[in-house]
Amino acid sequence: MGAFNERQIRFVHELMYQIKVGEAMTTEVVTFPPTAVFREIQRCMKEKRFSGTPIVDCGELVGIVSIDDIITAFDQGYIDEPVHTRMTRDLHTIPQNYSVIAASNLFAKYRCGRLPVVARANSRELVGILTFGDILSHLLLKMNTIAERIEKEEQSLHKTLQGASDTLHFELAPDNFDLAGMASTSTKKHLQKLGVEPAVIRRIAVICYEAEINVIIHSLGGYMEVFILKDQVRVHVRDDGPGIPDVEKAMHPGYTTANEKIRALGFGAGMGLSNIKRCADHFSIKSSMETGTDIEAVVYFDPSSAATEKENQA
Amino acid sequence: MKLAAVIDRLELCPFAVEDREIEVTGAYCGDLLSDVLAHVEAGALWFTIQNHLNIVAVGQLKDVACIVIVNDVAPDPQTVSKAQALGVNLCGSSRGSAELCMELARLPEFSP
Repeated sequence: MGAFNERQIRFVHELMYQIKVGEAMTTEVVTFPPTAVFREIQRCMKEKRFSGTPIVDCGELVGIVSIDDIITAFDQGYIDEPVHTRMTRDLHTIPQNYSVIAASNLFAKYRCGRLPVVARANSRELVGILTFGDILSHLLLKMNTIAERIEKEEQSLHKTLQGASDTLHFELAPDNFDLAGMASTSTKKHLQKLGVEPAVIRRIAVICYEAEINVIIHSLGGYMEVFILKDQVRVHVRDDGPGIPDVEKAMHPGYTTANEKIRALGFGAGMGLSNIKRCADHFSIKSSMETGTDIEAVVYFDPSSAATEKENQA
Repeated sequence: MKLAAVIDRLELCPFAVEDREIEVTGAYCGDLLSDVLAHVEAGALWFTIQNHLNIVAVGQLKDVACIVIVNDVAPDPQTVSKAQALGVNLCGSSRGSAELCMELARLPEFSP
C-alpha cells in the first residue's frame, strides 16, 4: 500500500488528493450492537463475505470486530460471548471530508485493511466504511471517466478534420526562396476552384504566404497543412526550430531578426506574424527553443461566425 | 480603367501581360513584401523596385491588376517566366513610383 507514496505516480497521486473519503467509501454498512455474540458476526461475515464490522451503540461507533478477532475468539473459546468485552476499542477512524491519500497513509501506518468513516473529525457518528479496494475502484472509475472524456474530445477533433472536404500538405525547405509562395499559390487555386469568396481567399493567402516565408527564412524547415472545412479553413504550420526566443516581441510589427540579404529582397520587414494575426479570425502561436514553432490560424467563410469567435476569445 | 489603356497612357513596358482587359482600380507603392501583403488592394497597380520572383506570388495572392517594376530595374528571367506561368500581369517602367502614381492620378478616369 505504501507503494503509492514511494513511486510517486504523479497523475494517480494528484487524483488521490482530489478524491474525498466520502466519495469512495461504502455507505451500506452492516453493523452490530455491542450485545451481539462473536458467532453471530462470524456467520454473517461468511454469508455476506466481508472481513470486519463496526460495532455501533445508539448511533455511536464504539468498536470494531475483524476476522482476526473472530479467530482469536475461536482459539480462546469465547466465540459464544457478546463482543463488547473483547472487541477492539482502540479505533482508528477517518472523517469523510479527508482525501483518500490520508486514508492510504493510515492503512500503511496501522497495517489495517479498513477504516470506519465518521461524519467529521472527533465525531463518533458512523457514515460508512472505507477499504483499500474502495479507493482503487473509485480511482479506476475516475480514470475511466477522464479517459472517456479525452477519447470523446479526440473523436470530435478527428471528426472536424475528417469533415474537411480537403487537406493540403506542403513540405517547406529552409532558404529555398525560389519555391517560396508555392504552398500559398496552390492553396489559393484550390480555394478558387471551390468557389470561396475572393476577399476571404486573399486573407487566407496572406496567412499562408507569411507563414511559409517565415519557415523558409528563419527555420530549419517544416511543413504547412491546410484543412478546408465546410465553414472554415484551418492553416497549421509547424517547423523544426530553432524556436522564437520572445514571441511577444516577434509579434510586434517592425521587429525583425532577418539579415541584410533577406531584407534586400523585401522580406524581413518584421510584419509577418502581425499580418497573419490580422488576417485570421483565430490565431495561436506556440514556440519552444527545444521543439520549434507551431502556428494555427483559422478563417471563417461567414463573417458572422468570425464575430462570435472573436467575442469568445475576448 | 482597363489595363491596356493604363499601359498605353503610362508608357509601361509589358514583360508578361495575359489579361489586358482587367480593370485597374487603384495603385500601391511598396518594396517590403509584408507591407504590400498587408495593404495592397485587389485590382491595384503595384509599383516596386523588387525584381525577384517572389513578387509574382505576392501579386498573385493579392489579385493585383499588374505588377510594375520601376526605375528601369530589369526583372529576373525567372520572374517573367513565373508571371507567365501564373498568369500574373508584369510590366516595367523607366520612371519612379511616385511619378507614375501622380500621372495615373491625373488621368480623367482617376480624377474626381
